[in-house]
Amino acid sequence: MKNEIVFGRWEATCFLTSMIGARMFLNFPRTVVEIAGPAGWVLSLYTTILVLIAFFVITRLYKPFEGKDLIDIGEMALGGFGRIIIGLILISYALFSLAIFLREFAEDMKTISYVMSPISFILILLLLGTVAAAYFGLEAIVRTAAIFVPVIIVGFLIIFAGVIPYFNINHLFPILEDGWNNIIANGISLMSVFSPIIWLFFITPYIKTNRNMKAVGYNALWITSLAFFVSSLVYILVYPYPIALENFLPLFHLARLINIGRFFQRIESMFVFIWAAGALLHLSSDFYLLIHVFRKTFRLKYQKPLIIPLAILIFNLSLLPAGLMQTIILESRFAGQYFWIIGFGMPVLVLLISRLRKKTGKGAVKSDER
Amino acid sequence: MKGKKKLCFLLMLILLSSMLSGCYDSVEVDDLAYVIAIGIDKGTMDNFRITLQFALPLNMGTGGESGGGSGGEDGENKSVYNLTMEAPSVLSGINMANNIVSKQINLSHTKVVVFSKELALEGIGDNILRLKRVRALRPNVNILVSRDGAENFLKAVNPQLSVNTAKYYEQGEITHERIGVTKRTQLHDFSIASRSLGAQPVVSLAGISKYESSDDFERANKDVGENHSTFDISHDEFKAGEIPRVSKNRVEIRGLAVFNGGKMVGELDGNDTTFYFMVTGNFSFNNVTVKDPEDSKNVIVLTVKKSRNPVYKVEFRDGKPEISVKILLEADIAAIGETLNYQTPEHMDILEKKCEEIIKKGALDLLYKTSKEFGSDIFGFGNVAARKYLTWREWKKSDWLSNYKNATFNVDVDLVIRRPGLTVRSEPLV
Repeated sequence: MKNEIVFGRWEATCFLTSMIGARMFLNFPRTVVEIAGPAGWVLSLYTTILVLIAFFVITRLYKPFEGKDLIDIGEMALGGFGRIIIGLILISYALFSLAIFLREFAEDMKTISYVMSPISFILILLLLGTVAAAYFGLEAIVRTAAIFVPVIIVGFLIIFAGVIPYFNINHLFPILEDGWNNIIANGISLMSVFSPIIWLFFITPYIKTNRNMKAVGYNALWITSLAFFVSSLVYILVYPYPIALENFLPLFHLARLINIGRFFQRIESMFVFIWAAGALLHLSSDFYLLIHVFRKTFRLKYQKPLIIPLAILIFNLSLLPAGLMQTIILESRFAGQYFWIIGFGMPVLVLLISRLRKKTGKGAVKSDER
Repeated sequence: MKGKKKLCFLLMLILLSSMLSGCYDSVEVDDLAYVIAIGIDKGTMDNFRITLQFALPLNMGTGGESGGGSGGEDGENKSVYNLTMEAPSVLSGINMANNIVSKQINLSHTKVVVFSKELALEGIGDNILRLKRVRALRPNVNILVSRDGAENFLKAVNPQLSVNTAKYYEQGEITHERIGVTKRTQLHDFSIASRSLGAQPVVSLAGISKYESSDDFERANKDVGENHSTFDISHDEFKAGEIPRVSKNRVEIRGLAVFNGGKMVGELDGNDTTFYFMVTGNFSFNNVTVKDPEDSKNVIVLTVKKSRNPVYKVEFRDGKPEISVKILLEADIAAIGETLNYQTPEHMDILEKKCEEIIKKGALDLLYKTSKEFGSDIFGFGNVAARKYLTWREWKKSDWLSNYKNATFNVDVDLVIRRPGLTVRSEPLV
């Protein structure tokens, strides 16, 4: 019996949005202020333009590869060697991001909610959800994302609306920290935030056509760009530069301020819920794609036996940094600086090589969740 | 197969039954001691004298036989328990308090932090930043500066119209700000303003009434003598603790403490606070009593409201700031006696001009007081000046806060009387 998974544009958009947008929960609004000062929101807009241009180029190059994922294309271009190289790069990328984000999410959860619980307990709690999602498979993850992403968006809109009384337009001036150079020079590295767009080229077989892929990619990029822009603008309107550099979880600090009348306060409890939901969605999607790429790279017949060993590996890797600050430094120094090369540079390179060598072809989809 | 199902069912029941008991280390609401106010004075044995005011929820709920207020016959507030100790920091004080009270101390319902004036004059900025970073304390906790010491203030709090002291703090701050004689400053606001390059913080002044009985009023009036304000808005010229009144609850919140960074540098009375609100555009409303321009024995009460946000202009001449403020107000005649018919448009003009003059003079005096006497830009004109700079570096170099001392001011008031109140003309007494 052929077990074919296909999902629509909406589900795929939500799936991709949950993967890219998770950075907003963590530290995106503070990161842009660190780079560009009061012009953090301008930097966010500028990065959006760069990302949209890069994605436009990728979709043009992708045209002859309808329904194929990046590993298939790599194999077509460079044979088994291409498959293994691309696979290994992506496995390292996924392992690094999973370990770092898992630790960051867990540390943040410990700081704001589970103060007395040991970090390993919170890590296991998050990993359990991730492992369960990997067992249920891509379809379950994607459909869950389609339900929860709109809820998360509404939650954030409530938080943004709740801090309107704290807005001060004066916080936007002087508009630049130290000239335009900062913004222009750092726009490209900030594209790293959008690097999970790479996973779009692995769900292409499930969304069938190039038209769908383009629509999903643009929709996810628009939604996340808007979220990044609004969150950085709201953050700087409430916390002026340089005080905005202090808060390690910017959106949580915004939520803590909400106090409308004697009845509408302590909204951060809602933040904890949407934040945990967003974290689990992000980690589950990332983890599923890791085992999917692992199986594909090494041409394994089954992927479910990989779940527990890889989960244990990630658990151990996430405990390597000594503390939260070391994790944040690792994330900003590597993930924040160079992940754009994987997210945008690698697809362009693989597609260019493949097109130059005139190795093109369209693919069909088959589920391999065994 | 049937046996396996039964076994699974039994295992599930056993597992689920463990959830019925709740967590073994859970903390119930009545296991916690809720601090509703924290008082911080200068210490004698250690850095700080810390007063924690705990809510006594059972007393708050019942109200007592006296019909509402939390105060007992002996004038003591029975809905709270005050604990004072000396410690090197607030958090150490709370730790020490945990050795005294049996319940776990919880700060999540703290409504107000009171600093003594003595401590504020030495600087409280660092203390506020530390408090702002305490996870359990909310950033929108209000701050007060007590002219009579924080410990004394908290011990004197004895609300008569509310059984819940926490609610008294919460509602009181809102009401006081609404009538424009004090400002709600939160930990968040202070932490931002005290580190801003274009504005400085203000905090509400608190105090304990100096009057034991109404007989004291006459004595106090003689003491004030020549220093009495000549403003027509004379009922507003008090600071906290100075209002001539007598009641069981002896605490008052009125006026503002002016800060330069984290250090208190001066005080503003209720009148100044009203002008402060008019200049900053946060003015809600106030009943302004003006002398009748035609007959100084009569007074007219106007309800003055903000019409639109004030318009600011900051220019630099020879490096010195020139600040122009246009205040836009509207008013209704609230109470008028037998006097000239100020309800008619031609006579309204006279009243408007008189009122504009009073407000202009009051606002100008206040602006120069903050600039020359305090050297503190509590209005945030610096934030308007910052728009003239493209980069943060240039703005920082301009050193606005030091330059504010050299500022000159121009105030323009536009007040329009919109409604004559309940009468359209006044007939004289026979």
